[in-house]
Amino acid sequence: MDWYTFLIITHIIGTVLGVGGATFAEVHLIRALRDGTMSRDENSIMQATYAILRVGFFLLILSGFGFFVLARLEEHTGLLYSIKLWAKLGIVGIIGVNAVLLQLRWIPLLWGSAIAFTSWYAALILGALGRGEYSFFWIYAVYIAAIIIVYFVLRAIHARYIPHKH
Amino acid sequence: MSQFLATALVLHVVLGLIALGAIHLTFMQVIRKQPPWGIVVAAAWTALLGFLLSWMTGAYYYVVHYGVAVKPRIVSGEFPWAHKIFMEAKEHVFLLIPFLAVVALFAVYALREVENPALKSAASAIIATTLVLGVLVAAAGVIVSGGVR
Repeated sequence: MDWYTFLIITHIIGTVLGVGGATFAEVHLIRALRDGTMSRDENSIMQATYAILRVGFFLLILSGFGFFVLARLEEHTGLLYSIKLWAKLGIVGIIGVNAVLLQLRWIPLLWGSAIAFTSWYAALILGALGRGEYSFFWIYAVYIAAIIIVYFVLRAIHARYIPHKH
Repeated sequence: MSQFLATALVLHVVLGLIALGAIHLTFMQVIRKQPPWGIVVAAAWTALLGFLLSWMTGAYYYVVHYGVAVKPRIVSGEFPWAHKIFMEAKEHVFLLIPFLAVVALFAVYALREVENPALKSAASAIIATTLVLGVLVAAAGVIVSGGVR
């Protein structure tokens, strides 16, 4: 197996773990809070899901930088001028910052969830899009609109399934 | 570029990323109400060793190859600022990071022994600073790589 194939496989595994982890984090969170409290077992499931998310995030970054190094060694630095790639890098950065903000509780849970969920799917979609002309502005306009939509969808789901404390 | 230099460059990047992942993990665990100290200490050690080894392999690549073969191409190319601003900043900022990682490790050991909110805030700030500087240095590395055309 050559290095490029190895990096592609690692990148896909990282994305799958991240997107799957982000999806199941939301599903588990809603299921765990349906009775208004989070039990010890439910908390351990959430921790396991977040651990998988972190592994996915790390593999994604490691393999992503692997592509950079490979491009540098093979003198194919044209890759580094792709708007799609810089947009994806920015979104991966947002995933990392959002995780820190959520842990510090400096961002409301629903907004943090919407950003994490949308960002992982955005990274997946940007990675899957073929070569072509992309506008940085439009990528981020669609991304921000998607975060707002996901926020309202999550809010409706939480309102429907999670009892409010008075 | 020789196989040895290519390996040094790859190790510089990979070890730096492992260190960044480890310092990110250290930060995420230290700010918890009850940090799992075994994981925190292991992550802080991994970060320190990763940064030190990345520093050494990067320094070797920089001194032996970059200054002679890469820098002149960037400076005479389309994006001279990739070296003049980003590499110059990167090579100086990176000098600080292993020392910050040492301080972070000591702080983690101290916090494990004594619960002290002020020390926890200060340690979190040091770890966060290391993380942010590490991310900026990594991003500068990408920009410098893109400066070679």
